[in-house]
Amino acid sequence: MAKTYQYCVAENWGKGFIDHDESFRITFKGYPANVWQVPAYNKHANLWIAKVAGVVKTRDEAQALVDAEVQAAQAAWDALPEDQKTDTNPRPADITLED
Amino acid sequence: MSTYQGIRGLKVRDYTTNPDNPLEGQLWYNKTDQVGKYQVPVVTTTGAWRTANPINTARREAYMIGAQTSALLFGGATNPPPARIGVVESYDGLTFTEVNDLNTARSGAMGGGTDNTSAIAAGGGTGSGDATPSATVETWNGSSWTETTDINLGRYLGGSGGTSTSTLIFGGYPAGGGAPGYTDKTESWNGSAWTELADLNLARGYMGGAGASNTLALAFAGNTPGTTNIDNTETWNGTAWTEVNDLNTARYGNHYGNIGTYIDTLCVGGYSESALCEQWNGTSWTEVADIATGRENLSAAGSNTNGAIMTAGSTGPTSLLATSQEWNNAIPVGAWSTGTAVNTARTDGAGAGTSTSSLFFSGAPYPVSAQTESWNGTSWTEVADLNQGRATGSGAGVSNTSALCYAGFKDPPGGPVSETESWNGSSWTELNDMNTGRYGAGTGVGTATSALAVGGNSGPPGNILQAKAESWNGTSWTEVNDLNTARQQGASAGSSNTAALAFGGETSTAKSANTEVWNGSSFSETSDLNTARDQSAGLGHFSSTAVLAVGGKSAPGSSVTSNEEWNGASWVEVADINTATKKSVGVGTTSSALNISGDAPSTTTAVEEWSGSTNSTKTIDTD
Repeated sequence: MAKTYQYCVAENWGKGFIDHDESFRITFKGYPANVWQVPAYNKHANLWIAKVAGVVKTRDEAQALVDAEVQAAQAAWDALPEDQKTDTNPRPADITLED
Repeated sequence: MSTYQGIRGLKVRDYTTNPDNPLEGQLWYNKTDQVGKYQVPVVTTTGAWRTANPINTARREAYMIGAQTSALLFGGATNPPPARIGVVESYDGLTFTEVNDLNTARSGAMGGGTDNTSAIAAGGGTGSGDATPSATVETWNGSSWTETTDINLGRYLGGSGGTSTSTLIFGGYPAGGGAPGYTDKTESWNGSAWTELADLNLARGYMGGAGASNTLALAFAGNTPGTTNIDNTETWNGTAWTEVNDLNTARYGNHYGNIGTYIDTLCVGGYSESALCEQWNGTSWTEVADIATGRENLSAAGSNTNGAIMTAGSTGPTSLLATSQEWNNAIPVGAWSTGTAVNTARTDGAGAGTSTSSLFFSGAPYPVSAQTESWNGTSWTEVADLNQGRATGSGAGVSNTSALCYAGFKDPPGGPVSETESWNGSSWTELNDMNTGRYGAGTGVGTATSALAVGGNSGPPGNILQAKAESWNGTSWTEVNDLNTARQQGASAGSSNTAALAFGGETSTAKSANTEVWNGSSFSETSDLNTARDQSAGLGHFSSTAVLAVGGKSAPGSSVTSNEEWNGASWVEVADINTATKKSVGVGTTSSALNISGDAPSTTTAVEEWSGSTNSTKTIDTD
């Protein structure tokens, strides 16, 4: 089955990493561990990955990176004093990447 | 061969490819591709209806003139039994306000006018029960109605178009007392007298009309003696009516009022409770987006191209409507890009200012931060700390030289903060405390001298959700009327302590989509967010009618990318942020804004920049 998204790892350096025209042309989704989701089989997405020197990952590889980051955030939350585990500061939820 | 310079008298600069940052409207020659290129704004290609504020008096068969930003609604009928009214409402693009009544109460009037400062109301039906056709005419000067020359044939529910000094009326009911009878008569107003001109090809009533003057007009839809619904369309060239292409859906009782011109208009609603809308391009009708609530005998005015306003009508003989929607075509398309990161990652911070001059202060994780960073449009610079570190506080202010920090939470077990601090461009100064210390009291409203705190949590011990609001006048806080729904960690926006919006947040039971408008004395509930959430950024220190709700949390531990825009009446989803973030800080306006730092799900230094409009490069077609 053809995939809908592709994933890459690239560090967000700030201004110019995703410019306004790129954001208008394609939908980006940023995840923990510098994982970025962009449309598959898309010229503008491929050009952007090349621009940011993104390292392309399979969905499973990207999922493993995200899981590690989320699990670290969950462990940090678990280590908080009980009085800081409030309704307004809930334990980070797991994230599932789409195919 | 013709050249651009030969035709326009201008030289065009050439580039190897394209300029780095072309301006809207810029024209250049691309040497690599050997083509001319230009920069244009990106806008939506299909129109859409969006909730607008309601009228004050629900009614049907009222007439409407003007534009989406300046319109006038006059007359109409209420139930039961049908009673004609003279009530007039003026629309300023956001709110309907009652102004002086017509001298003669009437429904089914015809008329003309381009804005809410000048109009003409011609004919209509008077009395109660079955209407009596009237020939009376009144003109509006922006404050009152004055009787002027009567039309030759009294009638109601005809079509019309034009201005207050160049008007055409056509068709309608000249009979009365419920007797059958339709007219094909056309009359033209030149500012002082009515003149009978050539008849319509098809006599009709309950019809639509459009036109910018008495020389060019369109008649469409309606009801004839032999046919309930008709699709017939006729154009007026100043001398005669000519039949042109029909509507896709025959109807009558569609909108009364003037939308656009004889070559660019809409036909909206109609019997029975139709939601259908068709767009006329001068040649043919095309079905476009439906209105939300189907209705008949409604009112509308404005322009297909530049925006229209629709309101009133009924969903049956007695169910009158006051709800409104605005039509927008060619809406600018916004987008988020990455911006310059802040120096220190924080969640639950606060902020003030614009996308080019702002302040980012306080925040978590614990121990809470007193840090302040100043943005000058190019870089973030650490400046003097707050006196009282805090998280989940609120910020107000218009730039990086004038801000207010209030409310928040101290390091556990410190509890809620009541301290208020003012920023003068170089340091924070403690001012008078809030009456009720709290955190999550909205993201912030107003300026350093006129602010509002909304709701929040005054625990521990436990969660003590607040509906309380406090108003800041530059010196002290005063308790004002409560929110309708107690909440914490909602967002807020507004230009001062007299005009604000509180939206989203966490109530005692759930994440909330609830939105409340503050008018300086009380809160009233209005349209909900599309996505219930708390911990979102509320962008809008400059307005309570142009606001963004960015990111936030819709379920425990989960952030959202959703971005919604408020127009003073309703929320619509616009382009998402690139990374789902909660507990971030928003500064700026719906045209240009920043979403700063936050939790994604670890604390991040990332900043995203919003531009409410986008430009696109096009190639000149040389075929």
